[in-house]
Amino acid sequence: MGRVEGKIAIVTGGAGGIGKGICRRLVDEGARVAVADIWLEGAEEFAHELGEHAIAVQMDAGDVQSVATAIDKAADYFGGLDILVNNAAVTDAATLGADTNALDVDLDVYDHTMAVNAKGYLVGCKYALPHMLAKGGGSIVNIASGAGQLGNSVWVAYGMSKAAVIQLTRSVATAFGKQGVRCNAIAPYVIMTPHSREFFPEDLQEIYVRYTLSTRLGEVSDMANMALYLAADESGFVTGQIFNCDGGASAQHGMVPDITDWTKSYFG
Amino acid sequence: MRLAGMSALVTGGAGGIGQGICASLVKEGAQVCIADLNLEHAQAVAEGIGEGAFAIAMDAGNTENVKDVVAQAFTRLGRIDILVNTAAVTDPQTMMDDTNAVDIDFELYDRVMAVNARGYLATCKYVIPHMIDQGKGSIVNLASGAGQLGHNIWLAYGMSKAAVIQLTRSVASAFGKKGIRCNGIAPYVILTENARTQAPEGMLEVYERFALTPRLGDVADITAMVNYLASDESGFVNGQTLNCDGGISAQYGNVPDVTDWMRAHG
Repeated sequence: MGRVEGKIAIVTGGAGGIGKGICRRLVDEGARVAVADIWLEGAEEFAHELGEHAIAVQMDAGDVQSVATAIDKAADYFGGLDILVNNAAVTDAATLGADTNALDVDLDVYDHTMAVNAKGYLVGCKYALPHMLAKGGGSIVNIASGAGQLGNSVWVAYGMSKAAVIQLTRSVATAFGKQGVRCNAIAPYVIMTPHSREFFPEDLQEIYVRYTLSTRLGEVSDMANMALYLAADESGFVTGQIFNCDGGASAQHGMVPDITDWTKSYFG
Repeated sequence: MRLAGMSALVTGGAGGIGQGICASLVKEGAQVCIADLNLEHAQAVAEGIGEGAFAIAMDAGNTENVKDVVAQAFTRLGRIDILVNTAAVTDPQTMMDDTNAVDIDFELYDRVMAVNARGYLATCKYVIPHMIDQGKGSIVNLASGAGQLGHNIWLAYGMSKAAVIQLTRSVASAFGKKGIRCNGIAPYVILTENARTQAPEGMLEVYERFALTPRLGDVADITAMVNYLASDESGFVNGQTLNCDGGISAQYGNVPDVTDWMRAHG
């Protein structure tokens, strides 16, 4: 008996690195999953790999109608919807490169990022909720980010969109909790996907690891395990929460590793 | 099984939440040492669980005793992969007398802090060296929503739980690089069977009104979170205190009343 046995899920951005891990984990634990992605070919290939418990649906998170259609298609195909994992976000290198700070950022970059990352999640909730309410409940898991919780010298739009997602999470939990819908978010730090492993310079990885309370960066499985817990009924009394999957990077003051080194070298 | 081959020490393991945690750790494959002030009760819990659990007497307010218990647990288990701290002062008389900064009795404050805060620190202090030797370990501290937001009573209890939340971050910061994870769970209105049957009329309805869920919590809600945090599944989660509170802390307190007011005004 799997931990989400018989549940029906849709995972947006399901053909991306983290999305794939979540889809696979949900299927392994007994769910049927719609892999929703802007990249239909990738979603189809992956759904095929997952077998009869998965289908692919095309979805552009920045297009309201496209999200509504994808969700209805998934619910029609499987016969309802229990779990929505909002994960589709703008993460291409060009956008993140241009997403700088309040002074330099191009407002088109901001609009595009907010349309996909924040409004896209809202639209996902808006069209998934009726299906969940019809069944007496459901679980929504929003992939947010530590970038929406603490300051960063770059990624102003990305961070703002993720902060918005965190408040969306609390709002959905507050408005629909009594009707059985739970809504929680996961705020990851650096998660190494097969793709990021390719372009992420090793010395930069080491810097990121240094400021965690962990011996490593995050893995896709870390995200998939937390998403599974929040999607499953076993977290039935958890709602409106933002759980950090960040190796503890946000749990200590940033200067701790440096001041520890300084203390060691100064006092010997 | 998610904890196959692992060994755990659970303090307060004979309490309402503690015994649920012990049973669910064993169900997931762990060997569990149930440490509790009430040995007789702990033995009954161990017997009820059957193979995989044994009982030991422990007074969380007595540091020498805690040290000794950790040593005994390690000897019998062979290793300690998981420490779950739940032992706390929760007797009705103490909770009744634990009021506010003006009225509180310092003896009560000292006793609550000695058990709830210093007791957790003591188990961490004596268990961590074993975990370092093993190269890994997971500590789960039962904190409370009472240590995160204001309350007009339970001053000492709240302060002790806030201290536990900081202990959690401190242990994670100091020993995370040695493979040790330390996380907290902040429950609110988790009802053991006792609490459910003994609650005065109308009280649970008040709590229910401010929860975002259709129901209040039960022990299984905590055990599922403990399993997640204890197991390798949460390998990249450290220094966190996760709320298991039906979302009570996620909304402003005025929301139910204002919602009613808006309805009444059309």
